[in-house]
Amino acid sequence: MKVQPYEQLLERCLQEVARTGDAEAVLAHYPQHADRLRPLLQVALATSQMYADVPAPPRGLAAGRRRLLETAAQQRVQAPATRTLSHNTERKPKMQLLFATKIVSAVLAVVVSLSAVGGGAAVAANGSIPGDVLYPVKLTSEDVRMALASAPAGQVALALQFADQRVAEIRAMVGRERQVPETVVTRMEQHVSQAMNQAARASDEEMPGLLERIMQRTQAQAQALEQLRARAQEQNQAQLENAEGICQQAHEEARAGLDDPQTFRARYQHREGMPEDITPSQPPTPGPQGNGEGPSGPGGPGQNETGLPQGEQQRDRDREQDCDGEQGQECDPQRDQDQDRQQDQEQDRDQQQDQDRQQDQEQDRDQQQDPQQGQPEGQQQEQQQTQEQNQEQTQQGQPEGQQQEQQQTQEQNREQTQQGQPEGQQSSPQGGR
Amino acid sequence: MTNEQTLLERAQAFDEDALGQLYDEYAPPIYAYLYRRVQDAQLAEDLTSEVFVRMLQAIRARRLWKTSFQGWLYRIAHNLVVDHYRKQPATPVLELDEDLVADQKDLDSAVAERLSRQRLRSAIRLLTPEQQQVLALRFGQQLSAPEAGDVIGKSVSAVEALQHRALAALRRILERG
Repeated sequence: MKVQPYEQLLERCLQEVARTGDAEAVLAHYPQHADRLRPLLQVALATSQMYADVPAPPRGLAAGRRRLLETAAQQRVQAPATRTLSHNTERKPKMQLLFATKIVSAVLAVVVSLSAVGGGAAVAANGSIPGDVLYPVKLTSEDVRMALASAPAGQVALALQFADQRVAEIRAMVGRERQVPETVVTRMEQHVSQAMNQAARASDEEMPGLLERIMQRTQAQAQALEQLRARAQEQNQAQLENAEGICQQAHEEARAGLDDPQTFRARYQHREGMPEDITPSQPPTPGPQGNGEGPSGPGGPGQNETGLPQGEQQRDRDREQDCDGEQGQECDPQRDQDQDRQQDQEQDRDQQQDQDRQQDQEQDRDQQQDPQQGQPEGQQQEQQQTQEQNQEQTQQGQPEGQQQEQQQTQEQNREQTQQGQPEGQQSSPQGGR
Repeated sequence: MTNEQTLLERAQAFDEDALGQLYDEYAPPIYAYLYRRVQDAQLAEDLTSEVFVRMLQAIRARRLWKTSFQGWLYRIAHNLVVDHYRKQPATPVLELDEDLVADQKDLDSAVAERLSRQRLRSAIRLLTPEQQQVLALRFGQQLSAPEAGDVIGKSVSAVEALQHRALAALRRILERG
């Protein structure tokens, strides 16, 4: 007889019992496993019988139907959201890519010059948020860095980092009670989409790691946005929900990519070489300082995507719970083309990163020395929290319950083999009872 | 294009008839699933209503199902259950009356049966949410392993492993008494 994992054997027995209704007859086919299988089949049968007992709904489900139709009628009068992840985005012509590259190169020269001269504008821009005069400089700097990053690992890392930036900006704007412009969410979506596109281009060996990283980051971002939504003003609810949905959708698609890399690759394949990956995005039109700007987004009301709790979206690989937990600042970029050109690019990028780090340090010092002129509480918190997210994402990206469950599952797996202690005994799910 | 596909496309346009038909078809199994998870008919009914409102919101935001619409609904339902228990203050598990259990052999079979089910329900509540989910999907909703995997977001082998762990844990809890 073909050797098969015990779980598969149990599944086969369950199917046969469901078909024949005779557990002993089924067990007779597996005499060497009968003693072990029998109690499990008995528990399964008892559970099936218990589950068969479902009372009629007290109000007959009619109230729910009315509520559904009323809600639909309300939503019909509003325009549906148009947000989709990048694989539905239209292609841009190839020429635009070339043109964009030239623009980026020119902007790079300007930015580097500015930084070399004294970096005043770039320093200020680094901590800017939408509506600030220097915010477009910050975005341009990001575009330049992205254009120079090597694909796919470097661009994935950078795209996720920039998505973190957008979340931090949203947090700062909520903290200042300013309206979050739709363009910030749109740009965040571009970052997330770019990370997905780059992951789809990665080698078979590299792709799983990148997808795992996308999952971790988008989960942390979604959770941060969910928490933010709890204290956000009404005017920002739709944008926050939309942003959260983007992160959740990316999280799910990355997870699906782990399960089925080929389909994932095919889905994003048509995006290869897409110009928007490096095209400098249109920054939000700066509005008057301190005021909201940009239209409110079309994101709908309501909850997060499909009501998914963050913790439940964490990929449970059952017995593969050993998470590497790596959260390095950047992946090592692949060096796949012209060596000389890459070295130049890396030098430039390192320069840029050094400048960024310097800017961060200077900002931190400034804030500590002169809190009056420093960023408001929300902005300071945002930077701290983003750093913490980067460093401890594996843990912070999960709600308490999920962490607890992971620990429990790990413990259960260990104890299953070592102590034979009851699994469920250690857990207190669903209310911790 | 199948009837269901047509129905789903119409539902995405908030077509009232299509939404009504979808509700009529899927609300009963979703209610049954929710009842199996929360063991409270009123709560299961309320959550069923919420599942379909969430469905609308997701449709509006174009966050749609990827494979099975029904699996997608189960997933919404599961997440609502988890959210519900996360927000609820912890409530004690219904304790068994040990005297009654000890004298179970003297009770008539109907009462003994009820006690047995109560004990099983209490034991299931000690499992992890995912373990409870897989039991409800496989043994309550009678989904196949691939169908359950679609709902949970796991491979078939992962579902089988989860199911095995759930049954083994349940057995140990029940044996311990």
